[in-house]
Amino acid sequence: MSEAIIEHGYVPEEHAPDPVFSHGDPTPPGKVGIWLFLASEIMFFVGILGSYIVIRSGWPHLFEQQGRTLNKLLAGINTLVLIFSSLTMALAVDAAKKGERPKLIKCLVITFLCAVTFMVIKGFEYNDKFHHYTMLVNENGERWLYDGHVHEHEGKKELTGVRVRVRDDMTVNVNFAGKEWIEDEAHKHGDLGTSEKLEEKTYEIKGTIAQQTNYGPWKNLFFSCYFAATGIHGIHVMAGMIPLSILAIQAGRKKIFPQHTEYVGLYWHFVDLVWIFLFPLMYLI
Amino acid sequence: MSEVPPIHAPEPAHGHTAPESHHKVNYFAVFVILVILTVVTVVVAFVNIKSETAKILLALTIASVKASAVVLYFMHVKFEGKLIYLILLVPVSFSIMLVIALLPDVTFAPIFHDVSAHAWRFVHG
Repeated sequence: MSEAIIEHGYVPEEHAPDPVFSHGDPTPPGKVGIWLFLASEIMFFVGILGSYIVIRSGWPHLFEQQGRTLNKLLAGINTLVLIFSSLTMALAVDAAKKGERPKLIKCLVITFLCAVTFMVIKGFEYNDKFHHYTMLVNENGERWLYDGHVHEHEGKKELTGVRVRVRDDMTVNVNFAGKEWIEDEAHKHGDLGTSEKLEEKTYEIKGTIAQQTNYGPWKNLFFSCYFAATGIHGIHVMAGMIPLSILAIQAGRKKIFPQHTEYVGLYWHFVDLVWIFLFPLMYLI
Repeated sequence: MSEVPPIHAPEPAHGHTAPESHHKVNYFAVFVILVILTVVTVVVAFVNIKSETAKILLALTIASVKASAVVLYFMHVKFEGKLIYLILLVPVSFSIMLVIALLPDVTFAPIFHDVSAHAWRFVHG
């Protein structure tokens, strides 16, 4: 024991002298610590959930409509990625307990790669939202409302999406309008047959932009909620990547920490748990 | 000559008072259940359910089942001692208290839904 102290400078918990357990509870102190941390994390996320409940109950129409602009497919894939990473993490904890080093390294690396995949897909989603604009444009004395993705083409500003001519009796708010609103107005004003759907086209933005907003957190309350909740969850995923990589590197150096692996596993499953609730709340309902 | 039994039986190794949990959990089965429920919840979202409340309740029920599977089996809570349950009791009861405290804002909301709809029409023309 003393050699270990001299060699490493600290005693890993699994080699430390037995702590005095009270009331015969065999739970190790490290596990109590991680669960206390997770308890505070539960409260943290329930706070965000609380604001979601209140805002949604006040603006049910807004949440119903704006939620449809999110990409269900990408989020569904992300859900599967996180669930799979939870599986490999559970297997890693198991391997660490049994001292199976190759399996431990394999599982930790897969878990880490899943975290990277999750963040990359999330990045694509965010990027898509930041290039998605709703804009009110004055063109030759007419006002047009556009909704779609903005990009540069041969030095010209182009938008791929839908548009409607704004009549004098329309009240336009770029923070609430979207593709569905434009389609409704097009139906109402006879630009489009009642059973027809608006087709996405590429338009060149030639006039002056009177108002515009992209689908960032400033768009409306739904997107504030969306970016706050998924952003904080994303930070948790990135934070989890740090101990995952440390454990993988240590396993590569032939050091296995079964209890630390278990604690990191508990945190990782918690991150998965949060996403299990965020996915239906933001994308599906 | 018959074998002489050792005078001192080898002592069990010291150092692990905490029982290593050797509960066999079939992680793959839990994973398959989670994947199936994820597919179900996505499919249900594409089915045209008229009632908004039914839709929300269904999605949240599926999410809760998934969450329980993760907590009980992946996080091993099913095999934990009383202390972990005690720790969990605190945030869970506080969460319930918080949601109850928010109820006035939520349950009175339908009364204001007319106002909300008016506001909706106002911004949408």
